Amino acid sequence: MRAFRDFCRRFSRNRAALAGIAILLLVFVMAVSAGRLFPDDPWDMIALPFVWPGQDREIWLGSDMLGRDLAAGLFHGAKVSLMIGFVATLMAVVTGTTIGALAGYYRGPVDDLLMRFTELFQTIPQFIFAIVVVAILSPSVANVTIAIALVSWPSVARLVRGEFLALREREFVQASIAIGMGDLRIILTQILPNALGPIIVTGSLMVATAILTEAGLAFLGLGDPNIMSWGTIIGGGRDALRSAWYITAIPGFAILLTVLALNLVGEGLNDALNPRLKNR
Amino acid sequence: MTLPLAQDLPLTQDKQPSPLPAARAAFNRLPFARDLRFVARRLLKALPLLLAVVLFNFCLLKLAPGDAAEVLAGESAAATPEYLAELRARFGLDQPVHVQLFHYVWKLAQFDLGYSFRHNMSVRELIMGRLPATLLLMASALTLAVTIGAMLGVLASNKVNSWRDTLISVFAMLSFATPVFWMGLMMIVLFSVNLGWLPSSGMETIASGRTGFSYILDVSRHMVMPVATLALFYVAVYTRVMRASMLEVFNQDYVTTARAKGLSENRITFRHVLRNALLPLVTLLGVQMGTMLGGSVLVETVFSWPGLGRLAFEAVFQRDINLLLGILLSCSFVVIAANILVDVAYTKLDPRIAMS
Repeated sequence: MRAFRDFCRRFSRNRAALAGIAILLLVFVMAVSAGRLFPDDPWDMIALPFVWPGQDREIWLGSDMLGRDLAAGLFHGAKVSLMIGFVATLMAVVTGTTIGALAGYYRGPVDDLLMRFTELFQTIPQFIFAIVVVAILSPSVANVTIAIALVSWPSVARLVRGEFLALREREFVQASIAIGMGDLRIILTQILPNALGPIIVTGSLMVATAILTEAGLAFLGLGDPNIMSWGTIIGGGRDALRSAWYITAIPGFAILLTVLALNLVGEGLNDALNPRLKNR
Repeated sequence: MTLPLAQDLPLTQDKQPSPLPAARAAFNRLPFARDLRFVARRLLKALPLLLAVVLFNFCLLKLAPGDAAEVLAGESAAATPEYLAELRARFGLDQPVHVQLFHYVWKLAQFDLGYSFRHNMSVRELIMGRLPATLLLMASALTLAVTIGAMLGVLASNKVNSWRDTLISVFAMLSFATPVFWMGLMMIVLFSVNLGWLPSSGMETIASGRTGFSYILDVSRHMVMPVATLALFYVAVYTRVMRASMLEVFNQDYVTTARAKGLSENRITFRHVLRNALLPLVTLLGVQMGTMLGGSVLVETVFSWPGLGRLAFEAVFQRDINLLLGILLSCSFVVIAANILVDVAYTKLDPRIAMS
């Protein structure tokens, strides 16, 4: 408990990380309130096309080339980005941790086999792999999430394996083996809690990457055709780039802020978990 | 100091002496002999990975809805079951899966990646035609990113926690968080639409009939924005890695010795620290190859750059899964090749690695 309080104290002293938390909270509130503030479908055409931001008080962020409310798209897009980012990361972290833990704990042939498998996934260019997966499975929120998880677990597996290899040699683990504790129990209750710090830091950075990947896929037209996401708006706004660049600029800026916030939080977590490294 | 060369050949050690000792000795005296052997060993190690990638691609191909026969029949809009069966037989799609896999591997061994009916060209020709543009884009972006990233990293590490360090960190943080394709689009708005300085798409001015120097200048003008866009993210990565790496080397004993000898701070930074701090950057080059290929899909789409990425984008739209998988496979090969090159570069930079 004291360790946790220390961690909170160190984290709260990091102003950049707190700013990151604030931005993330804002995006979260946007995502949650999207349905209430903009109950209509964000695909509905509710105004004249090409209304610039600030021109009309009713649609304060303007409208796109088909007269859809950009603010509605932005709020509903926040929901999609956060959900895909977090769910894909969760899936990748669980998969990566399982594979990395098994490889690092059992070593030997199990390690060889699992790491070869991981290497295969690291060799295949990730974004192109994600494109192929979505193209084969057909674009939908679930498939985009699966594709992102599928390309991002290897880095977690590598990290967890390294942690397990190191922790396994420590005395408290050797002691657990000596008193006859089962493998699963050692992995889950002895080693994993001690490897959790780096996993959480990597996870927070992976959410950022996942959001960028989702936006990239949606920009290429591989997003769910029924869901308004930030990348989708940018992809559509691209056609009107010359006359109405704000359609592209606004959602892109939202992505930038969200990803920046996640990076700040990730770095803050890292500094708070490894206080000695900070002022090296 | 010099190790006996026979130690590099653990395979031949326990066998009979080579029948051609003189030839072998002569070979060993060639300046590149060690490198060649290293590359050969490294290629051998990459072979299982290569096969795994091929097998993986085959599985994806089988997972895709609609086989080549259905695609072709759909094209000609005359899909009687008899016609489909005939096509399947012609493509060998009626064979058991393991036979199909064997055919797939056999065709790949002859560099046959299949045929794209949408483009009416073999996939290999399509990819080979587009590869140079992508490699040009990537090589330029990498060079730019490494140069600027290393420079910024050195500048930041020279005065840790100063305003300069903070400024560079903020810049790196922002570039790290910016979506690549959005950056490209915003650059088009600024530099093409508003200022009119740079062309917004393509690789050269169409039908301008330029030659020689004027042609090179034209292509470079088209390259500025795509290269800068693709490089930006990696500038951020290399800046951060370089800064951390420099700080680590600065703490080593031999740097203290250099200081004690009375060397100037500049000389220590550039001659003693920089060289050793560059090693992690080289490692990163190999790791980043795959992500950069992915990034180039977005950048090429934004700037209509006629490379592999743009081809992948077109393949997605035309539902040309075979072409898409061909691209994925070729890109994986590029990554494997890049990693071997990085390993060779590494042994050149740090001879201790070749020994192990």
